[in-house]
Amino acid sequence: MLLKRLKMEKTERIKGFAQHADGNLLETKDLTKVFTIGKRLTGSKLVAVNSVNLRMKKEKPEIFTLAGESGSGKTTLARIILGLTEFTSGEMLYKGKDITKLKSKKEKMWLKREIQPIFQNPYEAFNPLKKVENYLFETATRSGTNHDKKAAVNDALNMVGLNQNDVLGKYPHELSGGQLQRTAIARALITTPDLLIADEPVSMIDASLRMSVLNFFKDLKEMKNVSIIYITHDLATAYYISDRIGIMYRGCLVELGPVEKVLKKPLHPYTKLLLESIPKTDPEHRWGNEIKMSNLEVKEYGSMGCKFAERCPLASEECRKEAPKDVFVDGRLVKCILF
Amino acid sequence: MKAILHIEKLKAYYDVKAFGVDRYVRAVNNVNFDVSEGEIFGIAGESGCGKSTLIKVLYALNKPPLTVMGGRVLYNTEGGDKNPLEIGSKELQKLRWNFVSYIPQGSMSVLNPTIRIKKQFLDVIKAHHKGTDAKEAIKLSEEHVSSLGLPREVMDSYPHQLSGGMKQRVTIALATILKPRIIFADEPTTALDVVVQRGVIQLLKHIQKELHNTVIIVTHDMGVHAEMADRIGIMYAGKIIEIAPTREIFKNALHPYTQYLIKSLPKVGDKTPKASAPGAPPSLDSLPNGCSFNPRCPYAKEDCYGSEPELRKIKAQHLVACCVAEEAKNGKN
Repeated sequence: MLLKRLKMEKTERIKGFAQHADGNLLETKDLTKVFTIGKRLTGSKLVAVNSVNLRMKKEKPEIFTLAGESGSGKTTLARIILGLTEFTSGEMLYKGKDITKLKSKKEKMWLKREIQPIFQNPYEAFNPLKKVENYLFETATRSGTNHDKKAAVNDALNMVGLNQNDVLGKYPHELSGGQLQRTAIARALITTPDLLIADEPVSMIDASLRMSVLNFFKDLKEMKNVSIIYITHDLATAYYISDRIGIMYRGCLVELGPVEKVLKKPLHPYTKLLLESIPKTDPEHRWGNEIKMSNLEVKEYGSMGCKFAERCPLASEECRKEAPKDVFVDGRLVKCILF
Repeated sequence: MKAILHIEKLKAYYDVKAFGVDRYVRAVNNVNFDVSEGEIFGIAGESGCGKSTLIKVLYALNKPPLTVMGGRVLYNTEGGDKNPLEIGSKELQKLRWNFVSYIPQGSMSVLNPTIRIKKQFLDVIKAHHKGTDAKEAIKLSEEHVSSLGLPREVMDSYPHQLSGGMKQRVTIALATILKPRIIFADEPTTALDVVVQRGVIQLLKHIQKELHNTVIIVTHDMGVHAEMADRIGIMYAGKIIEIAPTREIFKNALHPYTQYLIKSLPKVGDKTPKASAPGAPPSLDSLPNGCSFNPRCPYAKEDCYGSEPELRKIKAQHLVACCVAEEAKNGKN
């Protein structure tokens, strides 16, 4: 075991990958993931991610939000980018490299260093019987960085605004939710990633501490040039921190563009519905009209035309027949035949 | 209006024995308030502030280690005032579902997974109205379900065939089938996404409008309170620290903690930097001396470390438990 690990560390030390001239950090082309429900031949198919095209620029770090209701495929997409789920068809390039073609362990470790996850519930991400520092040092060891592990851990902790005395030697229950989530972020930062994937990072944190974590993401982008994919269903926090937003519905990106445009002047009927459904935090302006609830989730995944047609107030016969194409209107992409 | 629910000096602690020494986790610590008939009363606060415990005690679901240490709860029923913490279990069972009903936290997992929804409705009706004809009961529940705008097919489904939002709405339908006068709803929209959340709020409001009953809704989401509640009580470290009508809370919050809560709410169309309250909520088994918020309060002065502030009246209907409320209010401007 030890020999194997030493060998691995040695290979890691040789910095394998030079920077690429290609300007894209992450690029996906018609990325599709199909799950089969039931037995292989008789089962029905569910397209969880339906030809998604994304592009994130390398020189301009940004916070990109993936928003949508539960079951819209946003977590599946995140898992594909993290390499935890294999996609069915399409292409995904990270810094110009096709990630399905990474064969050697060295290359795969490189990808894991570059893209780091932050999970929803910090209390579940850490083993309650293990000291928190174990995770930090383990990542430092595995990431195979050349320099002192202790220094790497300290740097990462300082970056998230935690004192090493706050964290080292402590168990998860001795830290508050906000501190623990920041420790989780510090762990992700040890490998100096260029892309962070944060899946609902603040939904389990108390309201009075939530903003401090979000503010930290903003600083991270500005100071450390880290790009972040922020996954949420909370459009208010999405507006607060992100630069661009993609709205997902039943596996499709239905609207994608700068957050000011998409959320202030939504075009797709689904984006409008989502925005209207956020409680206004203003008792003077309550909801007037009632909305139609969806009862047929699986059916919608399988429908030929626009997935939103059954609930859309503006749907016509045409919508049910043919899948809409991406149209470029007013600085954003919209998947709707009305435009 | 008459108070249908009266809570007086209620104290409920978790009695935890550690190393032979009794330790008390003060989850509900001297709570007083009244709720009038036909009102939607919201209880807000962050996790671990005791809001779910409060609801459990109000519904008399307290089991050891949770012990009621003092105070009383009164339901104003047709047969006079009743204290659910004192009456016998038979009488309590008569009140439950008929007079008070409870929508628990995570109510998606409260439905029995092995029997159809129809049978679950039947069980509830039979348990509380003995001798009801089965056909009649099913007809009644079908009418109830369709009047709430749920598809008829749910009656023949098993819980696993329904989505999370649908299960939540079925649970609400089940809790209101016997037309209770008081409904306790504990985090009914948590873990649902925004569109489904809106559907659930819509349903609860619809029921309240039909039955003119009292709803006590507990959630940490201030947006839900803004949408539903007539009056809000803010809870912090086992205490109600501020009670006021919804508009008043959102416009003229007085307690520094409430101000942080309201100010840190993100909004679409607003990118101005927002700050969290400094520090973290205190542990309920070792509360700081004096006001529980003093370690995090920017206005704390000497008085705040001495005695615990009581709820005091600032305006009609606006109560606050803070010695520096006036200064905090001015500091905001």
